[in-house]
Amino acid sequence: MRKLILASHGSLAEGMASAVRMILGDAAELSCFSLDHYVSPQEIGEAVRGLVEAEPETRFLLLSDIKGGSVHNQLFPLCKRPNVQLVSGMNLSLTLELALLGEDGPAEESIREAMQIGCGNMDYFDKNILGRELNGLGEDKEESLW
Amino acid sequence: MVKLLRVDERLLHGQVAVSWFSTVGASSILIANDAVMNDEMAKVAVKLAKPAGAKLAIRDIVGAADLVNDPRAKGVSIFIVVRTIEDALRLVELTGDEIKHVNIGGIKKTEDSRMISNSIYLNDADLERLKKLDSLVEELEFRLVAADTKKTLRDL
Repeated sequence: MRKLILASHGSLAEGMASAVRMILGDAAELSCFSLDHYVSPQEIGEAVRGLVEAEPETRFLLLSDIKGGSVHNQLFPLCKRPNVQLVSGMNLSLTLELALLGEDGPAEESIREAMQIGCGNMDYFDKNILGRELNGLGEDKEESLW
Repeated sequence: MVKLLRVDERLLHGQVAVSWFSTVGASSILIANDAVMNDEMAKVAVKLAKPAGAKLAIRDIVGAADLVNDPRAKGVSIFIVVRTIEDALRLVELTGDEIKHVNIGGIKKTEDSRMISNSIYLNDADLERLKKLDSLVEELEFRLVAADTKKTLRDL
């Protein structure tokens, strides 16, 4: 059994969960903790600690919005528990990949692959880049399925 | 082999790229649409939406049928996306019994269509095409996202 917990400043965690559910439906089991709904980062830390202590057999994958941020720093000490893994820098691509990981507590390796995909989704576009992409279409016309 | 043919008016977008590709367990994505072949901007957009590690080909319906009928297609697991029920039927008819599973996702509202579910609007012509499609493939089902419960033509 695995659970994904999103934690953030503002309402990012709820918004992220809403976006994930739009794409994956209710397949993903998500809980959210954000500073718009909790008085302090400490409160979020306590709430998440309560969850991971109550279910020592469940693997918890925690996803924070920004490394070194106050919410992240509250979750950080929970990493000493064997059933907790923590990833920072949530974005939609990363969150989707993490939500799609297998049920049986993913290995560090598969989490890092998801992080790679999340990073890869970050990109830059302007008219020069677009022009290059459009020109490039001609070259790989023969792209195929095998 | 073709794992799934999906009808989605938005072709390849976030929902299709992430959830369907991973659920279907395909290695290749085939976008089959006549108009996209002449729309460079749409082609670039489709390429950008490609999931990591996937092979992607964009073809018109006839070109897509050629790929599916190619003997080499037997060795690859393919996820096909078309924009309309009409295109789905054309492709199924052009490919013998290569396509066995068809999923109907989003179909947008038009003047003569009526709402069948939140994301599916059908007119009479599409309904007739669906009946034909239903008789040609093993499974025809209606789902927007993979986690939804499958509905059949009779459920609608």
